[in-house]
Amino acid sequence: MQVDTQTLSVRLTWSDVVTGEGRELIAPLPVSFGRSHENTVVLNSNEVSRRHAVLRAQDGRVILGDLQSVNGTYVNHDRITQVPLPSGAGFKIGPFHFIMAVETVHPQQASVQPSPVAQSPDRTSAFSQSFLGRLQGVPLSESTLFFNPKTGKLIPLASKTPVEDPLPLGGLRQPVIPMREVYNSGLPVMETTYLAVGAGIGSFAWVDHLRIYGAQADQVIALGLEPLPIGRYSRLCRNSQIPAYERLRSHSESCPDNIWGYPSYGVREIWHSLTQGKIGNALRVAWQVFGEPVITDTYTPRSADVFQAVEREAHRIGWDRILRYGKALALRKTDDGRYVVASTWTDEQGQVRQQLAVARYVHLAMGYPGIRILDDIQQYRERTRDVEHAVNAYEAHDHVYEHLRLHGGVVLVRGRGIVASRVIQRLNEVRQQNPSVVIMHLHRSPVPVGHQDGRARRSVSNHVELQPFNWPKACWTGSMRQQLERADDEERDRLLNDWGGTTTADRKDWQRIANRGLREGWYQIYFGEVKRLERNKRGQLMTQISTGKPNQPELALTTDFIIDCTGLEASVEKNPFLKDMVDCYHLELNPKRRLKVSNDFEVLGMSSGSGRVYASGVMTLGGPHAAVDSFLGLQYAALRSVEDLVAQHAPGLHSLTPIRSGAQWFRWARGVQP
Amino acid sequence: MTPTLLGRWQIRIFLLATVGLLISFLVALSIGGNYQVPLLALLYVLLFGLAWDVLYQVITSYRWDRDWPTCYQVAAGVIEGALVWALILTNKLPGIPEPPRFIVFLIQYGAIWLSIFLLTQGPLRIFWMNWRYQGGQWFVSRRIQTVEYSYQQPVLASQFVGRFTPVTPPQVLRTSNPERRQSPGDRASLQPLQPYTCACGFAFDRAAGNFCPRCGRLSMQQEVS
Repeated sequence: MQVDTQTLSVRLTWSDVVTGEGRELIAPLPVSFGRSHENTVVLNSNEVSRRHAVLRAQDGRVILGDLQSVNGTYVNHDRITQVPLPSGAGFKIGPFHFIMAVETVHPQQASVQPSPVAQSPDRTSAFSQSFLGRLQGVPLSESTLFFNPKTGKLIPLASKTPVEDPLPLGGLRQPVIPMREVYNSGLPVMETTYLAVGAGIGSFAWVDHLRIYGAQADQVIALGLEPLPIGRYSRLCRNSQIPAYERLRSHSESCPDNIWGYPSYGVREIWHSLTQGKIGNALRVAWQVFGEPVITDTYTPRSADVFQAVEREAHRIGWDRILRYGKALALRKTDDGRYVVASTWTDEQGQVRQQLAVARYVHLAMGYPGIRILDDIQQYRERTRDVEHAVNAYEAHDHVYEHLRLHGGVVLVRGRGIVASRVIQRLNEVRQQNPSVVIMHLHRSPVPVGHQDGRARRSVSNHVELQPFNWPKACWTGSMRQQLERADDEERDRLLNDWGGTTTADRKDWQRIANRGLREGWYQIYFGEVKRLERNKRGQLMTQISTGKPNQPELALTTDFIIDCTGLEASVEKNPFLKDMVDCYHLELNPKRRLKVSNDFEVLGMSSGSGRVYASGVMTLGGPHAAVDSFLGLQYAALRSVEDLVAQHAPGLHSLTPIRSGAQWFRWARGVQP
Repeated sequence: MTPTLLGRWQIRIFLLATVGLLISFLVALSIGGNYQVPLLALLYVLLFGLAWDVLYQVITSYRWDRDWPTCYQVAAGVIEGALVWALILTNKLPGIPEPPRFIVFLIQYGAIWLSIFLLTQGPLRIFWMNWRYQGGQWFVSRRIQTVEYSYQQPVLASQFVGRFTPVTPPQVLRTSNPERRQSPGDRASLQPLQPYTCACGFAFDRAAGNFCPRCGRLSMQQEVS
């Protein structure tokens, strides 16, 4: 490519290690990478050296040079010192994977160009510049599938921005609403002490703690759309091919139905097997719990067991009296030190009605606002209206397996997480009935080595990093939890980058499937950046990828189906309720662009008189806890916030002394309400 | 539960001082009231164990998950017991001139180890729910838990017409330590509300602070009776 050296610019795309959010940077060469702040691209990770690597122009070509870094720079599988990099090629620095493309832009425009999304004067960009004082690239706009507020199912065609409903009380323009206006609004008003917004597992954990710490059922309201706290979670499990008998990726001792975590699911399964006379299964589970994760695979509970247990506990704490139907729209402080939450619900005639809830203590656990869908797949779906052949793993897509069982075919799996592993296992089950099924697995980049932190390194198998759970285990209850809690914002960001990343469970059966498939040729791994997705004349999907290899820069993968397993969407901007709150109160966000919470999970900047707002779940990632969206992480957040409420003498709550705790446990064991 | 070093030490000291002592007494009674040898054996298990725990923590740091699998826990119990028994056999341990019968040591050590193993696998959590999240620690330094947050209290857009003297927003210092947040006995939720009306016409209670939540002005002077 003959480009004048002066005008040579590159477009770098990469994604956040933890949140998976895309970042993009267009910059003129040279571009330097490193941990220290004078670099063009600052990478906050201990695996990255202070001055790590540099991209520069030489004779119209882009040269990637390693600056004698400790952990090295990788192109494909090889550690490099200096190589010419073709446009479209990828490279890896520490936990970060970059894709580089040469941009032919005019010299005047060759400065750092934020894309239009980032130019809006929102506090996230101001924050990242003022706090981090450096350039991290701008977030890419991404497609999201949102949940239908009435049915809870995913809407197949994505919109770039979520639909915002009109707000009551004249649009709730004031940040503080006088109670007079609330009462005069003519809308139904529910007044309570504790309000849990979301009514999913996060809300359930908080309410469960409140009830066990002494709150009465009529002091608590949970506002949500699902009749059961596990409603959305279990639907997403079913869609992503985890039926009742399959096991969740969750630890035996993290029991959302039991705040003490005892007896664990392992103990319960042993007990049930013994009472049913299944001695073999009892011994197998006992051996697995004993040997995990060294001798045996990690024990994980059956999804049906967890869901039934949560249902039982929901019944015990009076969830049916606590739950109110409503889709939360906005939260405002009131002039008497409380909060008002506006919500809508649909009555029997199908008419949408507004209602208000007033509470002194509010808990926000709204989960993932939607499902991330790859941009090229979304564009294809919008263009062709074909939502049958290119599907997201979290959508109901059983028709894919049914078609493959009957007719065979080629499937492209994208993404390397736990969902992709389970989908491949499911496809392997289909292969038992119809051997003419071929699986192609497309990754953006290879994973030559796993993440490293201190003396430990994560293991890799077939370009997927392995870990029993979605974070290293000590993030829940061990030394890593303490380390993260005591760190400041910037160090938290670094620790999360070092510990995070997409992983899958170290299951021997999954590795057997992959290795056999690779040997026999029905499982193939490809690397590349997708250029476009089209349908050919025979109705098959053609995925054009650029591989970054000089001998074969472009490749077309022809498949019958595509299953997108890339993940869930969790940015604050995608949740209209939280976006409104952040905008209204000018809340600071943490380095992962999520809600900034204290170590007690209180949303900073939202206190109003004696009122407090707490949050838990994925919206608090980047704060004091890593595994915020796990069962145990939700329980931990609930515990911390309820203990904080006890310290503030919140009405009805008593501290859980060992005697009270034991007594409450016995009530749980007997199934008596707390 | 994934233990930290302090957690390991606290578990060891607490459980050996309670369950361990009880079982040792029972063993001493059953062998005819010789208290010295079983109690000293217990003390040696404790002292060596504190050193073992440091080694275990180093092993943990080589594991990506920084965890301590159950089978490691079992192996560690066997090795610790074997070391104490070997040292007893050498007759070098002060206070234990004559080794007891092996079966006595096995029963004492085995019973103590098994009860500690079973207790740490869950039942302790029934009474100390926090314990598992703190890596096995009962006592966590309050100094560590106290983190101060400072943030700029936002000044909200003014919503009135007229003369307006902008004030610099107050720097609010908050702490996660509840003792410092509120004076003892301040049951904020039970206090009657004390209304103040700002010059902007906005009424609010004292708990909202000295600044009007709507216009951000210092407005404690405009008290209504």
